[in-house]
Amino acid sequence: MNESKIDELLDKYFEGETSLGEEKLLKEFYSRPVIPEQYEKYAGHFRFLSLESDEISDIDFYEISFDEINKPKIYKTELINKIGYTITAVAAVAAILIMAYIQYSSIPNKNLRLDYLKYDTYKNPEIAYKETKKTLLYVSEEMNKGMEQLEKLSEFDKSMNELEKISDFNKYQSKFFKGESENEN
Amino acid sequence: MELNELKIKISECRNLLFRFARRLLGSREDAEDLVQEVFVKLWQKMDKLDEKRNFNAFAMTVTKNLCIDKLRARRGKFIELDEEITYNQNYARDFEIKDSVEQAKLLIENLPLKQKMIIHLRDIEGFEYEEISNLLGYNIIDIKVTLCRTRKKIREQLMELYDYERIEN
Repeated sequence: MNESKIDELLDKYFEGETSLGEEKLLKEFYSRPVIPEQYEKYAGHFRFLSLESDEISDIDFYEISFDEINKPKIYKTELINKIGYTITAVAAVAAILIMAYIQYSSIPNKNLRLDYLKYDTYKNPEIAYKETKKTLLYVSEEMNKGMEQLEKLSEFDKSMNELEKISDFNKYQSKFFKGESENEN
Repeated sequence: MELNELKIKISECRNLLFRFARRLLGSREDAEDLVQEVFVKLWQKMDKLDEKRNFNAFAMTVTKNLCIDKLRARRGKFIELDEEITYNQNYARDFEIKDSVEQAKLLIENLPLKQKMIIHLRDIEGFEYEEISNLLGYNIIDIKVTLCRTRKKIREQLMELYDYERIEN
């Protein structure tokens, strides 16, 4: 192969226009022990390409990876995962429903259930009236007790009235100072 | 597909997958682990494997996707295939690597992912454009344009390195 041919091939190669056959020629050229100096700059590149294509994995893939493949574990775990998630979801919903039912049915004497509103507690209206009155009186008594405590607030009002005298003092003070400044003038 | 059949097919293309994974991931160990993962994945998807479809292309797609997942996990974020991270940098010069084969290796190592995949399949594996298109799923024009751009970039960097060394000496 003459030098002008190499130049032409190199230009074609770096423009991305060479065929596989021409690329092979270049690789062969660069595998020579001695290369003319002007082509030296691309030698590393083509030598690297040739070296790399001979690279072979030295692990016995047949032994190692098929051992792993033959373990049915992968399939099983995937299956268990899928089933597992479904079971977990169903169990969670069931648990919520059971908790709700237990909560509802465990209310003591069913007093707090809304259905007690449907029935009367007293059959005789007179007794019912008395009972109601008693309850209302009790409520108002308790309320008055609370009101008594509030009366202590009036003491606070009184003290506030005393404090207003201070504002009178302020008034006189300002008048006094005014008079003084007038005298000066 | 039977397991034995799969074993044979996988053994046939294991070096191709290994070299591809090594190009993308960088280290031998990572590539070997990854190819094993690919085997397991193919075995799991065996019933979905279409007889008519090119087995190598399918295996390559699985390898490519697993590699991208690994790279993403390493960097902790999404990786763009066209990402031009190192366009204006000449790593070989910066790290003062004198061996020309090592320099060439570094130039290819620092290419964006898509350029790296295409130049690997063309210049190292020696595939036709159509085959690369089948293996990677890009169209032929896209592959040609990317390859042309990649080689030009490599040429620029090689010349830059050569000039730099001549001045130094």
